[in-house]
Amino acid sequence: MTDFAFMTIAEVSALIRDRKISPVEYTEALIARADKFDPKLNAYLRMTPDIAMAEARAAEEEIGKGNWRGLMHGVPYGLKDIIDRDGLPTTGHSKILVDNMATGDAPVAAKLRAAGGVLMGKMSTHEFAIGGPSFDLPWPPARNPWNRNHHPGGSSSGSGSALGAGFMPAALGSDTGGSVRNPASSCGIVGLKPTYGRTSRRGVLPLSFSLDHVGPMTRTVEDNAILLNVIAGFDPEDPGSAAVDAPDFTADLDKGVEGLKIGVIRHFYTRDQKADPEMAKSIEDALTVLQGLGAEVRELEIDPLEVYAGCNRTVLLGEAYAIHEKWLQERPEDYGDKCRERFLTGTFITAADYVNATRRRRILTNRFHAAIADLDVAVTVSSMEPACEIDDDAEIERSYGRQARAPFNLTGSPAISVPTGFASNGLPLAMQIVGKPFEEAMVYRVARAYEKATDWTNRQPDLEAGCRPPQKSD
Amino acid sequence: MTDTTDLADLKKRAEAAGLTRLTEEHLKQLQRATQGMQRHKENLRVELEVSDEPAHVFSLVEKG
Repeated sequence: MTDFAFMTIAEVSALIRDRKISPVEYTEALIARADKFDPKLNAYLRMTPDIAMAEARAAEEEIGKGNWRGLMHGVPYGLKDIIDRDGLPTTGHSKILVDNMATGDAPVAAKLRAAGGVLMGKMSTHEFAIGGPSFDLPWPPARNPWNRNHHPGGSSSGSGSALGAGFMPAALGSDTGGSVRNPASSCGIVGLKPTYGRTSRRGVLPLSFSLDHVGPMTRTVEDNAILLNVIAGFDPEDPGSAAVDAPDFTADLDKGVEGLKIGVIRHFYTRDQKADPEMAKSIEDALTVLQGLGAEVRELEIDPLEVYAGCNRTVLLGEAYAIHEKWLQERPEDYGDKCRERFLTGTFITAADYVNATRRRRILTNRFHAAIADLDVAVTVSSMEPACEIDDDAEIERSYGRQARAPFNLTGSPAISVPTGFASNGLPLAMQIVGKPFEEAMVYRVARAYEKATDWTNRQPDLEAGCRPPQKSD
Repeated sequence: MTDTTDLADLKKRAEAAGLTRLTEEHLKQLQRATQGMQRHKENLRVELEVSDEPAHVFSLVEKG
């Protein structure tokens, strides 16, 4: 049996359903693991052991009576601390919202509660989902479980770190410019940004209304599809929510890639930006695996990365500044440095800048959709290099824009990060698989085929070795 | 483009935008941020026709 800490949702769910393990004992063991290792990783902003044990006991009792609610029943999960859970603070990892109490569940949180999930806690995030790993906030930043001296990616940093560390099998993050896929890439896990509107944004602190997505984060592709099954769905009270039926995202998982057409957006990481050679090679090796499984791979040329980046930043920061304008005017000193500087970027974006960016957004989106019309998915890089050191501010700033995730927030396309190996420094490598609107099932199908042909998602960090003595930034 | 290198001028512009509580350090952040944003705007080199409309309500759902 898999080490309990790294059991998947699929594995543990069956054991819980068949009453071969107790959700109470499993939850207790995960809490104990986090108690031991999280002081060195800070994946949690707020553990909720009382809630977790109560929900685990309720699940055990209910399942004992024959009322099994489904694959998340009795299964622990975490919520990025921008997602409301009734009765708990939603802080955005910021002094500004340190006392902000949620007065209801976000729909995605309500669905997990209704599914019988076990809330382990609220997870660390970059401040307001944008700031970057910061040491000037009320809570410390999350660290990378593969090497705690490194950045776990963000902004869903705690969710990524916790999954990589084996603190839980499921977590939710949010993704506005890459914030589910970045920590997934950096922590060696699986993270999906769904199609825009696939999951409700209500009850989630907004960063950019037209770019925000809530996404599932897990250690395997199958688990990711299981989690999306729970949280997906139309929300009539979310203006961006898509009134489309949500299929069973696990249905096509094992159909393989024979005959599928994959477009590789190689220019993103060989010309527009230059990826680290190990990262680039891992993507080429992954494409070779997919070809070996029967997929056809062809070159895909779309608009340059910097054009997408410029459009994404103008829309994102224009909307974000509008959201934060009042606090920036009244209490700028209460933001962390990194977050404040990011939000100040929106100060002089004019109305014409913003409108013209949205006009270009439509053009870029239409062009991308036309480019992949006769393909099944596109593949490209997620991050240009493995995660840097967490206290190297210059490198954090340099690498902030070195990514190919933001284009797919603009186009609203479903996009997943899956592990593709490890760099020579032991840190994870990853690729991104992008689909057509509402075709998460195809994205999962390709990701799953690759995952089954490799063993990257079976690798686990040695937390004893990675938890080195505190560095100067502690 | 307005020169953003002069902190005194930047301070006036920021105050006109309602940002009256920025310290000198914050103003330097604003200076860096504005220069960075200018670079992003320069990358937006997709030419626009007069009739190109924004994504008023960004949605991928078929309408009608």
